[in-house]
Amino acid sequence: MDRATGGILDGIRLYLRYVSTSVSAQRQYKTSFLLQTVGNFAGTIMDFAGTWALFARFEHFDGWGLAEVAILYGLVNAAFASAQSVSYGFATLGSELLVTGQFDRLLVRPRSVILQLFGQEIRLKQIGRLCQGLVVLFGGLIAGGYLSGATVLICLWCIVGGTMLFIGLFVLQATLSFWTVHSLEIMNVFTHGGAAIGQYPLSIFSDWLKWFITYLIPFAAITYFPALIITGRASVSSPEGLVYVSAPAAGLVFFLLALVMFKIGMRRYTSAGG
Amino acid sequence: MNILPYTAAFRAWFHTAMQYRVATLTSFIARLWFGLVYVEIFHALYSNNLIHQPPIGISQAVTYVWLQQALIRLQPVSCDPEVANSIRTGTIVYDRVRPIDTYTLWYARSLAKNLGPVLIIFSLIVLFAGLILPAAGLGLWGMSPPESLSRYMLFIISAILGILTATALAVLMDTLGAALLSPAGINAMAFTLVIFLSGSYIPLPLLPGIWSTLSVLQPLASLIDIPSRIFTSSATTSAIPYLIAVQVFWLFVTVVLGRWAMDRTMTRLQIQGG
Repeated sequence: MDRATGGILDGIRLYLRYVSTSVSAQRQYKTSFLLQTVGNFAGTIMDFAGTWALFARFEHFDGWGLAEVAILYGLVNAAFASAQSVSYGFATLGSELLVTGQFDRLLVRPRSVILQLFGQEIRLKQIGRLCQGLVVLFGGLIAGGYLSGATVLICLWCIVGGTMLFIGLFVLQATLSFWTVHSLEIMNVFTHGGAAIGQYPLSIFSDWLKWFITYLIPFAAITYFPALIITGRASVSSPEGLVYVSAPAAGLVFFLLALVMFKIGMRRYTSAGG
Repeated sequence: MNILPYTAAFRAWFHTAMQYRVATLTSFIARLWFGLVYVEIFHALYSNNLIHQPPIGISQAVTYVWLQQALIRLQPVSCDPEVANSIRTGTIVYDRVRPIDTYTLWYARSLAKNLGPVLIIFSLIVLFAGLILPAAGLGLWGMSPPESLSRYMLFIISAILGILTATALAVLMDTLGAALLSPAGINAMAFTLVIFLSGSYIPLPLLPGIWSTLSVLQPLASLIDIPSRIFTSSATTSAIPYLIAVQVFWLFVTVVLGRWAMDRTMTRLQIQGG
C-alpha cells in the first residue's frame, strides 16, 4: 500500500471517528433530539401541505400534476436534508468558528481542514426532513404510476448529485465568510431558495431564471431534467435522454469547483485571535 | 409604572440592531429574490385554464407575495439566542435582580431588535415592487396600491397590531425556551408552523374550501395574512372591523399568556453558583 492510499484510508477512519463521536454526543440529549426530529418531520409535512393546497386550487403546473411535483419535491428535499446533516461545519464557519477564533484550532492540527470541517458535527435531526422527502418522493412515484427499478435508480442518482450540489453551496457560503467574517443571509437564497425552486418544473420560469438554475447553479440538473425521464416526458433512447440521465453529475462538478474556491479563500484568512 | 427604564432599553437595542446595515441589506436582497421567484410561480399557476375561479386575482396574489416578503422578518421563528445564552450562562440573574418588570423588558428588547430591520425592508420592498417595477413597465410583476387611502390607513393599524402580536409571541417563545433550558426543540417545531400559519408560505386566501376563511381566526394570521387581506382588498370593507377585532383579541391573549408563562417559569427558575 503506497502512502497516498494510506492517507486516504486514514482520513476515512478519522471521519468515521468524527461521525461516531457526533452521534453519541447527540444521543445524550434524548428528549431534545426526539423533539427536534419530530419537529423537523412535522414541519416539513406542513411544507408539502402548502404545495398540496395550491394544487387543490390550480390542479396543475404547466402540465405537471401533484404526483409529478411530489417527485421533484421529494428529490430536492432528500438531497437538501442529506447535505445539511453533513455540512454543518461549513454552514456555521462564519457565524461560529471564524467569529470566535476557533478556526485557528483546526488550522494547527496536522490534518486536512476540509475533513475536519465535515467532521464538525453530523446533524441527525435532519433525518426528519430526509424521511419526509423520501415519503413524498415514493408517494409521487406510486401515485403517478412511475415506480420501477430503473426510476428508483435514477432517483437515487439524483439524490446523490443533489446532495453534492447543496454541499457545494454550503462550502461556498463558508468561502464567502472568509471575506465577510459573518454569515450572511444572502446565501439562504441559494440553499433554502434552491430547495424551494427545485420543487417546481423548470418550464414555468422566465428565461433569466431558467438560465440561472440550468447553468449557474444547476438545480434543474438534479431534479427537472432527470424527472423528465422518470415521468416519461422524454425517452431514454432519444438524443437528449443521455443528457437528462447524466445531468445530476453536474452536482459533483459544482462541489469540486466549490472546494477549489474554498482553498483559494482559505489562503486569504488571517487570524484575529491571540 | 415608570416607563423610563424600558424606553432606554428599547433605544439601546434599537440602536444596536441598526448597526447591522449590511445584514439588513442582504436580507432585503434575499427577500427580493424569493419575491420574484414566487411571483413567477403564481403567474404560472394563474395561466392555467381554471375551472374554479380562485378567490383572489393574479394582481392581488402578486401584491400578497410582496407583502409576505416585506413583513417576513416579523415572524418569531426561533428563540432569541441572547435569552438562551443567558439561561445557559446564568446571566439571566441580572434581569431578575433589577427592580423592573422582566416581561416588559423582554418585550421592549424583542420589539427593538425587529422593528428597525422590518421597517427598512418593508420600505425597500415597497419602493422596488410598488414603484420601480411598475415604472419599468413590469407592472404585472409589481405591487398594486390599496384601492383607497382609508384602506391604506387600516392596513397600517392592522400591521401595527401584527407587529405587537408577533412580539408577544416572540417573548412567549423565549420564555418557553427558558423553561425547557434549551431552545432547540421549540425552534424546530416553530419554524414551519409559523411560516405556514402566518400566511408567509402560501397566501391563506388560496387555501382550499372553507379553510381560506377559517384561517383568519388563528393567532398567526394576525402577523401577515390579515394586514395583507386588508391591503389587497381580499377582505371587503365591511369585514375589516371584525378582522381588526380578531387581531386585538389575539394580542390580548398572547400578552396575558406570556405574562402567566413568565411568572411560572421565573418562580421555578433555579440559578446556581454565586
